[in-house]
Amino acid sequence: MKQLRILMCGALLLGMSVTTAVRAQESLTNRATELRAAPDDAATVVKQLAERTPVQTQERKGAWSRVKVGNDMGWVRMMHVRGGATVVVDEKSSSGGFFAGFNRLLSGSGNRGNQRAQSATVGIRGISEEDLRNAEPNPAEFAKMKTYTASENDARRLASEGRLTFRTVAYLAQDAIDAANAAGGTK
Amino acid sequence: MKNHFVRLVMMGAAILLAGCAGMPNLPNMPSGRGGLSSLIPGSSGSDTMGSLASLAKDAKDAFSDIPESEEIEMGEVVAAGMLGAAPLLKDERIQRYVNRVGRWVALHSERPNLPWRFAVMDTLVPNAFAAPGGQVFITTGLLYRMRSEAELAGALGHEIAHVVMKHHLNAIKKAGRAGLLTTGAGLYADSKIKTPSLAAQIGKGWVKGSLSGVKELYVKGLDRDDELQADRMGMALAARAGYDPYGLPTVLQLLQDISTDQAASVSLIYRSHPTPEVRLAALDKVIGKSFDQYASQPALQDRFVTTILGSPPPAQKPAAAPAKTPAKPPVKAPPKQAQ
Repeated sequence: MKQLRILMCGALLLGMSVTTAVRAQESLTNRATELRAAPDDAATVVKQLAERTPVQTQERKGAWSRVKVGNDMGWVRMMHVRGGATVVVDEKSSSGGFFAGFNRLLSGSGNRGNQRAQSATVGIRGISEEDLRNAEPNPAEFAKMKTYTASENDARRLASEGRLTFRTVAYLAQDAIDAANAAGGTK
Repeated sequence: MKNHFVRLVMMGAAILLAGCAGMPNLPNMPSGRGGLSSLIPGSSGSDTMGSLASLAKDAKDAFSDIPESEEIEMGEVVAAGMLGAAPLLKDERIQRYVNRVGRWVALHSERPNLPWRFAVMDTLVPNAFAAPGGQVFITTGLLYRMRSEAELAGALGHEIAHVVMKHHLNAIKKAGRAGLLTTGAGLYADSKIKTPSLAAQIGKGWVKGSLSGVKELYVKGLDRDDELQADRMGMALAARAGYDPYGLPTVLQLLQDISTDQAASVSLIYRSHPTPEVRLAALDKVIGKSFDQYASQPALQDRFVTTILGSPPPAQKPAAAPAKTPAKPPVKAPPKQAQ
C-alpha cells in the first residue's frame, strides 16, 4: 500500500515535469552556483554557473528548480535564481493543456467567457483611484464572504485528503517570542 | 454624510491596498504623500484641525489596549470597505477551497481560534492583504498565476503571520500615539452610516484613530521588518501545515517575473514595500538550508490546478503511460486570440 502510494507520487512528479516543460520564463542566476544532475547538494555537478547566467526554469520542486542552461539541463537551488517562477504555457504544445487554462484566465480569453475578458480590462488598470472614490461599502458582499468560512473540520478534511500532516516547525527565536507575546494579548 | 462614509471606506480600502505581500516594485507608480492626499479628498484640510484635539485625545486613550473583539470588528469594517472597491470572485468552489487552505494553515498559528476568513477578490492586479482579526484577501491576479497549493499556503501564511503579529493593528496604534489623528475624528463627529450592521462600530474609539492611522499606513506601508518577519513566519506556517515551504519564495519569484511585465506596471496600487529581491535575499540569509528537511512535503499542484480550473487536467499524468496516452488537447481549445 505504502509502495503504491510512493509509486503514485513518483508518477505525479514525473507527470509534472512533462506537463510544465513548455516555453519557460527566462531568468538569471543571482550568484555563482552549480547546475546539478539531481535536486541534491551531493549530486554530480553538470556545470558551474557564473552569476547572471540565463536559465529557463522548467519545473519547481521544493528547494530546487529544474532549469535549462544553453543545451544543458539540470537542477539549481531555487533561491539562486531571480524570478523564473512563471510557467508560460505554449498552448500549441500538446502538453500545455494542464496549465493553459490559467493563461486564458489571466489573458481574459478562453472558455470562461466575456465576463472574464471584461474584468481583465479592469484588472490591468487595477483598483484605481477612481474605483476607490466611487467605492461604496459592501456589507452584502461581506456577508457573502462570511458564508464561505471553513470550519476546523473542513480544514482538517482538506488536509487529510491531501495527505498533509502537521509538523513541528519552530520560528526563529525572536519571531517565536514576538508571536507568543502577540497571541498572549498583552501589549 | 454618505460621502463621509465613502471616504471612510476608501481609507479602509487603503489600509488593505497598502497592506502587504503583493506588489513588486514597479516603475511609474505614483507614491508618496502627494498621491495619498489626492485619494482622500479633504483629508489634509487644516480648517477642522482645531476642533479635533479632544477627540484625538479620546482616540489616543482608546489605543492603549484593544481587546480582541474590537480588533475583529475593526477588521470586519475594513473588509466590507475593501469589498466595495473590488468584488468577490463569483466562484463558490474556489472561495471555499481558499478558505479551507487558509484555515488549515491558520490552525497551526498562535491564534488558531480567530474567526479566520479568506476571500478571493476579482481583480487581476496581483496582491494579497490582511486586515486585523483574521480577514485575509487574495486577488485573482495572484491566485491565477500560482501553480500549487503550497504557493497558496505560503502566501496566506504570510498574511496570517501579519494577523498573528497584529502588524496592522500596531501600526494604527502607533499612528494614534503619535497624535496623527485628524480626519478620523472629523468623520466620527458627524458620520451617519447607512449600513446599520456596521454603523454601531463606527462610534468606537478605535475607529476615530484607525482612519488616520490607516492614512499613515497608506503612505508608508507596513514596516519593512514586519514584512520580512511575515515572510519568515509564513514559510514556517506552511511547513507546519505539511506543505513544501518553498511555496512562498516561489510566489516572491512570481512577483519578480511580474515586475518586468509591462502590463502589470500600470497598476495604481503599488506602494512602498521591500522589493521581492530584498525579501528573497533576507529569507535566504536566515533560512539557509534549514527548510530543506521539509522541502519534500507535498506541493499539491494537481489539486490546486484542478480546483482553480474547475476540471481535471487533461492527459493527466502522461509520464505514467507515455506511449499509450497521446496528449489530448487542452481543456477546451480556446478561440485563438492575440496575447
